[in-house]
Formats: sequence, C-alpha cells, structure tokens
Amino acid sequence: MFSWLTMGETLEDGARAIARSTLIHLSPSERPHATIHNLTPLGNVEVSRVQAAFERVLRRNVRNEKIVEVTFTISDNVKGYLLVAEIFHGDERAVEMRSVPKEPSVAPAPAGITIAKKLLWEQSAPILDVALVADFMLVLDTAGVSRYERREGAWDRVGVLPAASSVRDPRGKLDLEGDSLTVQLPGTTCRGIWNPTVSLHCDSGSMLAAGRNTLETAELPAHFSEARTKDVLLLAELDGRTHVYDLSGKPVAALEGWGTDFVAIQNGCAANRIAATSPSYGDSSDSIALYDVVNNAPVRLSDPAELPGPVTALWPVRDGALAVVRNVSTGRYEAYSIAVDCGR
Amino acid sequence: MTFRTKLLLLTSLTVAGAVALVTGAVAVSTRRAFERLDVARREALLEQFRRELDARGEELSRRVEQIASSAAIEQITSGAAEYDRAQAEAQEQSLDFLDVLQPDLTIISSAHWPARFGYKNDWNIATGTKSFLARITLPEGNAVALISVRSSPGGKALVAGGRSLNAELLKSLGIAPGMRALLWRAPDDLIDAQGAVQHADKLEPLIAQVKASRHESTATVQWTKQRSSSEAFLGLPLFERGQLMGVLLAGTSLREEMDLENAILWIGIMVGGSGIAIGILLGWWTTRRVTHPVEQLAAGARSVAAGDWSARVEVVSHDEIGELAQAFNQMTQHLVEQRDRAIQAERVAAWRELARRLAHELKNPLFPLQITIENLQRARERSAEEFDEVFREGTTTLLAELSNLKTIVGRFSDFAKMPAPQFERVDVNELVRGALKLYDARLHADDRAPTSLRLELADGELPIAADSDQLRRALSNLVLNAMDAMPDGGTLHVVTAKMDDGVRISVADTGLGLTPEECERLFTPYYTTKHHGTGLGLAIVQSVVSDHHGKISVVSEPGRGSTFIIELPLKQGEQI
Amino acid sequence: MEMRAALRTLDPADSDILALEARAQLIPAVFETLVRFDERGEPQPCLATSWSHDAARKRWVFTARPNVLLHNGTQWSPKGGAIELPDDRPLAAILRELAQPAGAIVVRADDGSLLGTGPFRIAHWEAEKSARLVAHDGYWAGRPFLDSIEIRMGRSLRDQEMDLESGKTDIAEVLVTDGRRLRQKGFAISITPFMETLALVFENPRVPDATREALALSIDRATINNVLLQKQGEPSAALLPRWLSGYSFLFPAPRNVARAKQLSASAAPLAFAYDRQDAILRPVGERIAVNASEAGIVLKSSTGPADVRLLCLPITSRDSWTSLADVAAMLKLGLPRASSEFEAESALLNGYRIIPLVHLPRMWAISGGVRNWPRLADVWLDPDPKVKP
Repeated sequence: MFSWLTMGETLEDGARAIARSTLIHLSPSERPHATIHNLTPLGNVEVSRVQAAFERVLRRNVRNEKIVEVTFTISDNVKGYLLVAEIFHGDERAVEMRSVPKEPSVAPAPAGITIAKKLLWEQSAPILDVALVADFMLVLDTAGVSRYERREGAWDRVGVLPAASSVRDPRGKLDLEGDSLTVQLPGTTCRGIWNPTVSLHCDSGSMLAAGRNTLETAELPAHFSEARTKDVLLLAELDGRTHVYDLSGKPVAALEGWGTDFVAIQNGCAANRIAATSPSYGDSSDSIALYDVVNNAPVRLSDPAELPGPVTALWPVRDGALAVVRNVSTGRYEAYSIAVDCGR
Repeated sequence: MTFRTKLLLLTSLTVAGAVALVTGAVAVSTRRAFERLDVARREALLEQFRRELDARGEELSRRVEQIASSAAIEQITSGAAEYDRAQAEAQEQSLDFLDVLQPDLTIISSAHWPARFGYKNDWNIATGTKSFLARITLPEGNAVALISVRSSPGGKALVAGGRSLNAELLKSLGIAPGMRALLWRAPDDLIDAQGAVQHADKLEPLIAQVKASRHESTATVQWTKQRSSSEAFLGLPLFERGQLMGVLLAGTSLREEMDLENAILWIGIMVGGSGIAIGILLGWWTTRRVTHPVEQLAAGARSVAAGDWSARVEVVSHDEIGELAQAFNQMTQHLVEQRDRAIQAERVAAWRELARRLAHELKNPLFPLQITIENLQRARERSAEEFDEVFREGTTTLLAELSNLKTIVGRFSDFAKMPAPQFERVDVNELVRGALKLYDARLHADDRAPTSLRLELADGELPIAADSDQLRRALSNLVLNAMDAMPDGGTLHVVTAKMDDGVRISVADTGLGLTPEECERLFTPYYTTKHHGTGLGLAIVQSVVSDHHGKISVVSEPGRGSTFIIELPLKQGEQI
Repeated sequence: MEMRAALRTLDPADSDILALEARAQLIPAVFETLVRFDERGEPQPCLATSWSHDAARKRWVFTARPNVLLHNGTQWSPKGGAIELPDDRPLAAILRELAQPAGAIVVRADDGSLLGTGPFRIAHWEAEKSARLVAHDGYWAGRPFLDSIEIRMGRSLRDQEMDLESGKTDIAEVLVTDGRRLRQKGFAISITPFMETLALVFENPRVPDATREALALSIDRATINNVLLQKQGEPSAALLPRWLSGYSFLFPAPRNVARAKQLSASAAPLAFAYDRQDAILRPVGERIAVNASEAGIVLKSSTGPADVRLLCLPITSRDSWTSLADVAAMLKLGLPRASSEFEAESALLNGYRIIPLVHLPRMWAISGGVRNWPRLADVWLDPDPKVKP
C-alpha cells in the first residue's frame, strides 16, 4: 500500500501509479468515483494535470456498475509529495500511498535545455570566487586574491594579496570592471585594481556580514542567496526556506526543495530564470538545475546537472553562473562555470 | 407486708411524688422560658441573615455594573482578549464567580471555570435588577452563590458575577453567644463560620425534612453521649424561583438549659431523697408508736386464739391505740369470765344431763325391778305356788334388769375412766379395714335390710401417731351409729384421705339424716336420737378425737343421711 | 540558553525518555553519528562518508571520514579507516538506527569524561543544573561561529522570560500562547514546524473500549486550538504532523457528542491527570474535562495514578519511523511491526489508547542578535542586530 518513490518520477507519474494501485482494490463491476483534495501549495493548473493523470487511469467502462468512492489527496511531507488514495467500500477503507520526490516537474522540461558545466580551476584551499578575463584569472580564496596568467596552457600564479578570512563557511565575491577590482569579504570590502597587479585597499563594510556566511543589506533581511527575476525576488533565508517576494517587497510564498544556493541568470536564453542547487547537507553531492518561478512555485526547466560534491559558492556571471564545489572524493575545491544550453 | 412497711412506703411515695411534681413543674416552666428565648434569638438571626444578603446583593450589583461598563468587557466581547480574561476582572472586583455572556447566555469568558467558554451558562439567569441565589457548577463540585446580572452598554453582552455563600458570610453575622449559623449547600457540604462541620450526618434528618416539606422545621441534635451537647436547630430553606438553593440552620446550644435542668433535677433528687429519709425516720418512729401496740394486740389475740384467755396487753398510751388495748383487755377478761361461767354452766348442764340420762337409763331397769318386787309381794300373799312361779319369773327378771343396770353403770364407768391415749404409729387404712371387717357380718345379717359397704381408702399407707384401740373404738361407734341410722338399709360409705398435715376419715350413711339442731347437740354426752343406746357413743368419739388433737364434724340433711368427718393430725407433739 | 528540561547527562547511551526533545537538540552538537538525517529526513553522510555492503548484503562497511578530530585534538581513526557492521536488515533500518543519538561516536577518556567529534565540546557539566559547551576548534566541517554556549537547565518558563528580559539569556523557551505577547514586547520569536503533539494517553488498560471512543468523540479540537492555543497549532487525530508524515488527514477527528453519549452510558468516572503547573496542559485539560462532561464522561482530577493522562509527545526526528519509535518508547509501548509508517501509526492509534489532539510548534524567544537558531552549529550572534519582528 505504500510505494517507494522512483527517482525522477513526476507527480503525474505518481498519480498514474497510484491509480493503478487503486484499481487493484476494485472488482470488475465496480467503477470508481474520485474526489480530489490538494493540501500542497501547488496551483490549480498543476493540480488539474495530476488529477487528469489519476482519473485517466481509473476510467473504465463496466456493466451493472457499482460506484465506489475514491478520495485522492495530494499531500506533502519533508521528503516530498505524498499521493494518497482512499478506497471506500461501505465502512471499510483501503489506503494506497505513493511518495514523489519534491523536485516537481509538472511541466516536462522543454526539449533541449541543458546545463553545461566546465571545470575552470581546482585547488586544495577553499575557493571563494573565480573571475576569468581573457588570459587572466583571479582566484579569491581564504588566503587572499591570486592572479593567474595563462601561459602555455597553464596558469601561473603571479601575485597574491592576503585577505584573511578565517570563518566557518567563508564566502567572498569578486567584481571586475575593466581593470578595477572589488573584493567583498565578510565585513570587509577591498577596492583597487587587478591589472597589471593586484592592488587593493580595504575598508570595513560589505554585503557579506562580518564573520558570517550571510548577505545583508539595509533593505533585505539576512540571507544566504538572492536572485531577482523580472517578477520576483527570491531570498534563501535563515529559516532554511526560499522566500518569494513580489516587486513591492511583499512576501508571497515560501518554497521548500531548493538548497541555499541559487542565482538568477542575467542574460541569454535563460534570462530571468534561476539556477538552483538541490538541498543537501554535509557532504552529499549537489546538483544544479534551471528553474522558472510560475505562480510563486518553482518549475524545473532542465535536468539536473550532477556535481562531484556540495556547492560551496554560487555566483552569477554573464550568461550563467560560477559554482565552487568541494569534491567529496578528493577533498579539493573545484570551480566550474555553469552555462545554460537552450538547445534548438 | 407490715403496716410499718406500708406506712413507710406511703410516706416515701408521698414525699417523692410531691418533690417530683414540683421538680417537673419547675423544669417544664424553665424549658418553656428557654424555648421562648431561643425562638426570639433564632428569628433575630434569620432576620440578620436576610439583611446581610440584601446588603451584599446591592454591593454585588454595584461591582458587576462596574465590570459591565468597563473597557475590558468590550475587549472580551470583540474577541481581542484571551478567553480567560474574565479572571482578572473578577479578581479586581473580589468576585468569586464571573461569567461574561452573549445575549443567548453562551459563555464568552468565565473567571471561575475558564474552560467552559462556548457553553451555555446554567445559573437560571433572569434579567432584572435584583440579586438572586444560584447554584454554581464547578470542576470540583458545586457552590451556592449570590449572583447579580448586568448588561454591557449596547446590550452586546451580559455580565453575571457573584460571591459565594460561604463561611465568611456566616462569620459576618453577629450571633449571640451559644448560637451559631450553619449553611447546607449540597450533600456532604455543610459549613459554619469556621468552615466544614464535623459529624454533619447528625443534621441529615432535619435537612431532609426541610427539603421534603419545603418549610421551616426544627429538631434537636445531640452531638455526643452527653445530653448537654444537645443543640436545637431551626432549618430555613433558601429558595430561588422555586428551587432549593440551600438550607440555613440556626442552632442554639442547649447546654445552659440542660445544665439548669440537671441542677433542678439534682436538687429535686436531693430534696426528695432527704425528704424520704426524714419521712422514713419519722415514719419509723411514728409507726413504732402505732404498730408496737398493735403488734401487742395481735400477739394477745393470738394468745387468746391459742387458748390463753388470760392474755393481756400493756396500755401505754391514752390515744386510740390505748383505748384499743384497754378494750382488748376488757374483752379477754370478759371472755375469761364468760368462759368460766360457760364452763360452769356446761358442767352443771352436763351434770344435769348426766343425771337425767342416768335417771332415764336407770329408770328402765328400776321399774321392772319395782314391779317384780311388788309382784313378789303380792304373790307371797297369795298362794305358795303362785309365789314360786312369780318368784322364779321375778328373779329372772330381776337378774336381767340388774345385769342391765350393771351394763349401764359399766358404760358410765368406762366413759369416766377412759385412759389417756398411748400414741404409736398406726396405719389408718389398716385400722379402718380391720374395724369394718368386724361389722361385715352384721351388715349382711339376715335380719337387716340390705346394707352395702363402700370403702374408699387412700392409696398406700396413712401412718399417723394414734392410740389404735381408742381410735378403733371411735370408729366402731361411728359405724354402729351409721348402721343404726339406716334401719331400712342403705349404703355405708367410709373414706380415708390424706391431708396436708393429717388424715381425714369420713363415715357416711344414707339414713334419716339430722336437723341442724340435732347436729349441734350431737356430741353432747347422752344426746342421742336413737331409740336405744346410752348416747355416749358420739361423746366417746369426740373424746377420742379431742385426745388425738383432732376435729370432728358432721354434715347432714334430713332424709339425706349424715357424714361424720374426723380429721386427725399426723403427729402428736414429738412423736412420729 | 535556558531550558525547562533538567538533563542528567549528555551521554548518548543514556536513555532518558523524559528529556527527548532537549537531548535531540543538544547531543548532535557534541556527539556525531556515522549517518545523520537531513532537513528532509533523508540519511546523509556524517562521520561516515559512504557505505557499501558485501555480496550477501549481510555486512556493511562504513568508510570513516578522514581528518576528524576528537575534542581533545586526537585523530579519530577507526581501524582500517572503516567501521564494519554485520547486519542483514534493510539499509533504511540500519541507517535509521545509526542516526540515533545512541549510535553516536563517543570516546570515554580515562578521567571519565566523554569525547565526541561534534562542533562543540563539553567544558562543564553540572547534572540537571548547568552546562557549558565550547567551540571545537578542529571541527571537521569548520569551527562554529559561537565560541561557547552556556546552558541553564530546569528553569521555569517564567524565569526564562525574566532572564531574557534582563539579558541573562539569549534564548528562552516560549509557550505557543505567549508568542504574540513576547513579539509585542519586541522579542524575536523562532518557530519550528509542529514538533509536539498534545495527546490523551490511557494508562489504565481496563478502561472499556467504548469509553475511550466516547472520550475521543467528545473532544472539540478546533476550539482548543483556536481559543486556548490561539490558532498556533494544528488540530489532528494523528500522532505525526502532516509536514512530517504527509498522511495525517487519514486519521479523521470528528466530534460527535450524541454518539459519545451513547457510548458512555453508565461509564464509570475516570481519574484524569496532567501537569497543572504547565500553562498549556492546564487549560487544555480543563477544557477536555468540560467536553467530556457534555458527553456524560466524568473526568476526576488526579495527582497520582490515573486512568488517562494528558501529555505532550515530542517529535524527535525528521524521520517518521524514529519519531514513532520514540513516542512508543516514551509511552512504554512496543512499536508494532508494520510495513509502513502509516500502518505503524494506525496500529498505535488503534483502539483509542492514544488520542492525539493538536500538533504544536516549538517556540523560542531569542534576543535580538541571535541568528540561525536552532541549528546550534550554525548559530551566530549579530553584534548589531536589527530586530525583525
């Protein structure tokens, strides 16, 4: 009566599967009459799709039919969605359940959107951010800013500026504009140039909270990640949920099912869409996928791209994102560029 | 019971009765006085209770009005306040109970039972300005309270507040010493000014009576074995719109009254006891003065009855008793004189009778003697032959008559010298059987008319102390007399019977019977009704009987026969 | 931080059922397990980075995480870099068990103290009174933000509130009904999902079935939640809240006073016990007594042995099975063998031996600078707090 989830199964798949399980409880002369309940934040459109999938399987023509009431409930729990069918024969009730993972793909991903990842750099020390300009690469890590020049296919380190940051889960961001460089560290912002050498002058104050791993601004509450589309602002807040605000700043929803790292893709075919990691803890491997936010609910647009470990940093870059991953096998930190291939 | 005892008893009873009457009268009038006082005090207590309730009701209404018009009620009715907000209001106004209600009596907030919000208030609320009593249901039981109800401005809510009828209320009543007020609120819930009452079960009957009759009732309760622990109660039912809310009990201790009654009783007992003691002493002294002479008189009378006619009683007083003693002495003296005279006369009469009898008896034989001798004289004068015949006849006759005279003289001699009886053990039955056997032949002789013998002897032996010869002789005389009384035949009936202290022998005949006069003279020597005989037979019988210290009597009716009854004692002095 | 619970010890091997919630919060901060449940109740690597089994699936090998330091600075290195477990049960059950506090890696030092691998170590422990946890500098996942956590145990809610106001504590436990009031006072309130279940538990097995059912039918859960609990809870007849199980709606909670009256005809009074000092249990208990009396059931308050008791059952884990097992253990019942959580929960609730009433969240009032509460390893203090209501 309880079915384990099948990886990659959608809600509609689950609905069809539970409908088949429901039919087992009916005799050939019994025809089910289904009533649908939705206890989740899913919108009417999605619910209708799931209901249709359920009822399609249940539909049958029988002679001398006897009507059997079936209640189909779309519920959810920590693990994901839970589809529940109750089959009533008089006072007797049979129950079928099916769990569906909470990475809903109510709409099948448009054909061809894929996430492409490309390894840029890897080192043993935690990487905070990486910026690539032509043959130069700046790497911000817990030791400081390192400037690399590509020579003969290899990167040579040509300078380092210590900018100590010995906090747990350290974060930092590089912003390049021309030759000028801004480095944001927890509680500190360093400004200067990166070319021809790295020269920075640091002051206190930063979008990264001092000694912490969160972002803070005057207008927004403390958060781990933020992403702005043309309709909504998403903030990964301290309660572990992704809060959705409309453009006026009014909270409209709270999502579960994403990790704390996501970015809005600025340009390209995936503009105004969100690249988000799956929720994880500790050392489990992350994946990153492209989402749309429809009716304040996430809609996955691409298959997830698996990563070799948890994402420790995710920053938006032109047409994509930069993801830093700690490889669970090697323990080293790897920086990937994330690009969205919209296909045909 | 002696006269003295009777007199003492009478005296004691008189004294005791008088004292008891007086004690009772005093006790009753004391009790009545106390009762009147109790009634007055209880009425005062009840009146005070009513006034106190009224005063509290007014104060309560004022406080409830304050709550009803406060901002808190607005908050409570609008839902802005928490469900138990009423508690704060109740506390502020020192109310024990407070319900804030919707107009349909649904509880919005309850101070005393916050969990009851949403349920209907069950105090039987009637809107009005006057306070009323109500029974309040609580999680842990019930209470009785004075309730006042007010509407909030705009009529959006009703505020019903109240204060419990509790020990504090009772304490506030000014109660006279010896009195107390109790309040029954529910089964097992009886309080006084100090709190719960112990042994409340003793008041259950009164409370039940008040509840059943729905009127005032009274009862007295004794709390311990001692009567002075008694308390008189008046139970007043407290009604509210026909429903009984509780019972107010006004109690008055009867200790004072009981103590006084006890004192009266003890005094009565002491006075009575002393009176009886004094009465006994006086009575004893008095009766001694009265009964002693009477006893003496009685002793004297007993002596006289025993034969000592010379008994005298000492005359020691000059009152009625003394007169009585004197009269007694005179009587005995008179009796003695009379007895002497009687004895003398009897003797003379006896002598006369004896002489008469003798003359009579002797005359018979003497006359033939005289005739014979005259005949002889005449015959002598005539021929010698006639004289020889006459002499022969005459001497024969003379000898016969002389023999007769000898017999007569012998009888008299026998009677005169009857010896003193020699007592020995004699079986009366055997003696009777033996004596009758001698007469058996005579009873059945041919020359007699048929005469039967009926013998009824007592069972077994009848041993007495007697002289068997004399007794046999007496018996023979009676049998002979009976046979003589039945010339035409009949039945001779002889009976022996045992009595308590002796034996009875009766000899009855079915002959001619005797008249009463004849009965009287029967035992007089020489009295006889027979045509023959000396008449000594019965005298001998009487003499024998008298020597045996017995009694003889006769029962007879003319034409019906006679029965002679001899009663003899078992013992003679110290013998047998 | 302060708490009502007074813990004897943080030793994971100690089975103190009464302080499950507090232990579930504190133990993982000090002692780690091979496997840990994530926010979704899924087992994730912790001190074990991976696991595999032999061909026969009778023996599991858990690869130990490298570079893990104990609290005394020594390396935790099990022999062979792995831990072998002979166990032929399904993996889910094994992982669930390994994730329990009792499965934590604990090294007992010579002086009797306990060494773990968690982000904090025990610097001071006074049983049932106070404790001090200090940051473990060498924690494998990075030193925690906090330097130390002072814990005061056995503090009443009132005392905790007073200490919070006077600044003696940063964290105070709060009744769900006090949240609004404390927010109005300016405190930040941290709310968990529903982590407690108010329930009636029949301790006397001889109470007739009909009486138990009658009591269940008489209770007005909606009013209890809306009025007494200020709508902070979720009325339910299920043991596990819907956010955890997803199927709580399958246990209906109808109120049928007429049917309850029929069932309770000639029922004997029941001894009813609950903690009268508890500001949640007391009004709820009183309301239950009123509901019951409407249905003809007399509940007489008892301070000693009782026929039925009102309790707060904690949800100790984001894993349904673990939570159900902990509830069963707390009530001294065996968890029925079942193929699913729903079956197990149905078996526990069968016959109305347990009558769940309302699910409640846990709530803390936190002083302005605290962030990331209640995940102790991630908590930090903002020196310049902008208090967010």
